[in-house]
Amino acid sequence: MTSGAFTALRGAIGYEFRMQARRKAVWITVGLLSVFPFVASGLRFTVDLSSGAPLPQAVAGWALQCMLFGPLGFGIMLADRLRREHRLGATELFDTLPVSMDGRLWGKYLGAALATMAPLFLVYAAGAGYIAIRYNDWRAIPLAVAVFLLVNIPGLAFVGAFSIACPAVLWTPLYWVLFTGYWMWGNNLDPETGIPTLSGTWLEAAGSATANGFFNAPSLNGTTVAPWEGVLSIALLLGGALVAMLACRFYLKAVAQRY
Amino acid sequence: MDIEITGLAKTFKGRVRALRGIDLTIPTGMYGLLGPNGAGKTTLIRILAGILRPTAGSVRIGGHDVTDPAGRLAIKRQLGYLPQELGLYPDLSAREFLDYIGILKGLGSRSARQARIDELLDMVALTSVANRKLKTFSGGMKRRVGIAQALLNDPRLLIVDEPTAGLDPEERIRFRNLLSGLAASRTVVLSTHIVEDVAQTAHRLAVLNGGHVLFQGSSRELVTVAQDQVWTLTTNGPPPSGPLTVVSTLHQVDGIQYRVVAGTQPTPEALPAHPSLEDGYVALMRRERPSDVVPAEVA
Amino acid sequence: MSVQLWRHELRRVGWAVWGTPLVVLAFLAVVVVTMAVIGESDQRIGRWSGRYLEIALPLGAALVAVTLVNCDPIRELQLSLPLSYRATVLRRLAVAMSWPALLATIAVAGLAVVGWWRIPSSLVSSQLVWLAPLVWLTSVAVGSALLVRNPTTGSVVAAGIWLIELVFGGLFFLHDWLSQLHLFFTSYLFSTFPPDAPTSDWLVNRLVLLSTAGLALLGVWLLLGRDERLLLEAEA
Repeated sequence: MTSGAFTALRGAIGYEFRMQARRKAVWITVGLLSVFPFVASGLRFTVDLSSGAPLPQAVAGWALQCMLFGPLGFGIMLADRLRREHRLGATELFDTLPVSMDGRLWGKYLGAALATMAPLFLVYAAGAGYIAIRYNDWRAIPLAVAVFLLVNIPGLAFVGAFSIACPAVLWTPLYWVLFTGYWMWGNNLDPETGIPTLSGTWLEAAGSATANGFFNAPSLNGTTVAPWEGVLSIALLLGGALVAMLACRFYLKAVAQRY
Repeated sequence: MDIEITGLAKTFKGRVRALRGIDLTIPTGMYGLLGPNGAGKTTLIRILAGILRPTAGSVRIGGHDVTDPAGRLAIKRQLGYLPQELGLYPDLSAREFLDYIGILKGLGSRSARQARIDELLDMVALTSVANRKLKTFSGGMKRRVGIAQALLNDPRLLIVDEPTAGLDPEERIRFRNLLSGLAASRTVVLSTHIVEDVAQTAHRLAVLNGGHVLFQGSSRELVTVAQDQVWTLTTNGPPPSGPLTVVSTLHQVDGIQYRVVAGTQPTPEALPAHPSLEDGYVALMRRERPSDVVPAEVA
Repeated sequence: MSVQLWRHELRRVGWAVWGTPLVVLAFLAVVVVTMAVIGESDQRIGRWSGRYLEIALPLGAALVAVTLVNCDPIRELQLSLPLSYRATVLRRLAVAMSWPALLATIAVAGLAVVGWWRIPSSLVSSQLVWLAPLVWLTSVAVGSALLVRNPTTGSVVAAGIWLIELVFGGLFFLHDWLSQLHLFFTSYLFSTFPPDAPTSDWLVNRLVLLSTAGLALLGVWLLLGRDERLLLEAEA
């Protein structure tokens, strides 16, 4: 990547981040959805903090709790970003600029996704901070960072990529419906119901494979997985994100060349 | 259809004062509204169109009070409105779009509505493309669809906001002529940045700035504001500087010709010129900003 | 004029409003046929169909109905016309609710003919299985979108409520009054959890939902009357 292209990418990330971060609705909806499971359970963490559970298990359990509903708002709030340029009439202007479509697309994905996950991260950080105080262990802080990177980020990257890419080919409202259904089916549905689901598998975006595999956090169906399965889950989710973004790029380029 | 505006004020969100006590009388005929960005023109015409409610003051249009729901409805029945940003339904043809708006304007009879649409499409020279989708139309063609929809109900009050923005010179002339013709028997309020549009069509006008009325009167009266303040000078040297406004810069064979508005002769070589409406507008704005000084190094 | 106006409004609601419920019902058809082919009992097929219509159809209708709000390119012009914009949006909302309702009615009729409609109520009143949550969720979604002047936010609110009611549905049965507000009462009657869920007031639940939906629609009606709010764009 040339320095000019890198500068353009960095600029796109920065401005997409700012534009998304300015939306009050992002903070309210994603923040409330992230904290709702905690509130609905009577202000209780998934892992009982007074049970003597290991610190990593408590932090990872909290990370999973934030991922129960938070990504729903995350995905829906990202889904209108790609169409927005076209709706505002900015596409034609951007097409004349030297910055490549790749730079704009990846800048939009990374910048908007980072801003949209910020409320979820803040909720998570608040809870992790409380856990650190309860355990009276400063190592909870770097551990919380590591847990977020391993448990939350791959799933958010996966969801974010599809939320940016799919509206390029689907009506955005239809994507909202399909995504909501997917989030319920693929991340909240108890596998014990007998209905085939992604919940509890390596492709579950909520991150229970990683949380359980690395940190022994309780998963939805109570099963345990090995650490290598956590690694595989991360690889599949990040790989899925990459595939989605590349497919989107390919499609947009094909459409542009047609005209 | 006369418009009487008294003490009109509009404040948004309790902070932004878009209009600060406007008093205006708009008679039948063409009336121009000039002013810079943020002057309050669009806010004013949206109040006239019944879209926004005044914070204070009164507006009566043809005897109807815009603050009264019944009055607003009565005004809307006689109103044709062309907003500055007229979105269209891209999947509809011009004929279908006009048919839809015609129904919303209360033109119930299908045959009468179709006849009116045919008449208007002919007036705006879009008959040959009437069945094409609007997404294939150029900017000028879309504007013509816009004026056609505004005229569907043969309104007594026509409000157009920046109607010629983005049009080529011929389109602009066609528009001006069309509006002038319409003003013979109705009130046409033309809100614009383009002074030339007002100069060519409106006898009476108002200039807004910062929510106030700076001027209301005839075009001739606005021109006289710049009396003895307009100069032309041709120079190969540095551009004129000081308390003046450069209205035009024209590169010629024997030098650069500047037309400036200044209270006093800017240079000994400057020659007085007859003021235009644009000069009058500039002189009026200069009164608002007496500290404007063109620095010597800026052309 | 009315017929011509409605014909125009049917075009205005957009492809998402027409297509999304079709996608939802198509999935129902595929699953029902698959269940029949693999030999599932009529009882199981019927109960699954009822639950699916109760859960999926309202979501499909609500999330596309929000696009009727704040997405009209000629909104400013509409606000200057004598026929109120409020009436225009409500007409489109009626289409957005009627279309999935029509599809659901046809689907239920088909299921009943084959003997797969197993809701323990008359054929007419059993339509409340999907009708009550559809009207409720759509009204709340549109009301939210109008309140914040943004369809995306309205869809997050509706999707969030939908997901919370599904995942935390058991909470609604901690109190009698709360259970009357549960969107998926039928589904929880069919499930084995919670075992002590009340079973006698399904109709009351449906009627309470319709009543509260009426309140939400009243809110929609009031918000649509505030032209200035509709004109001033929310954050893009």
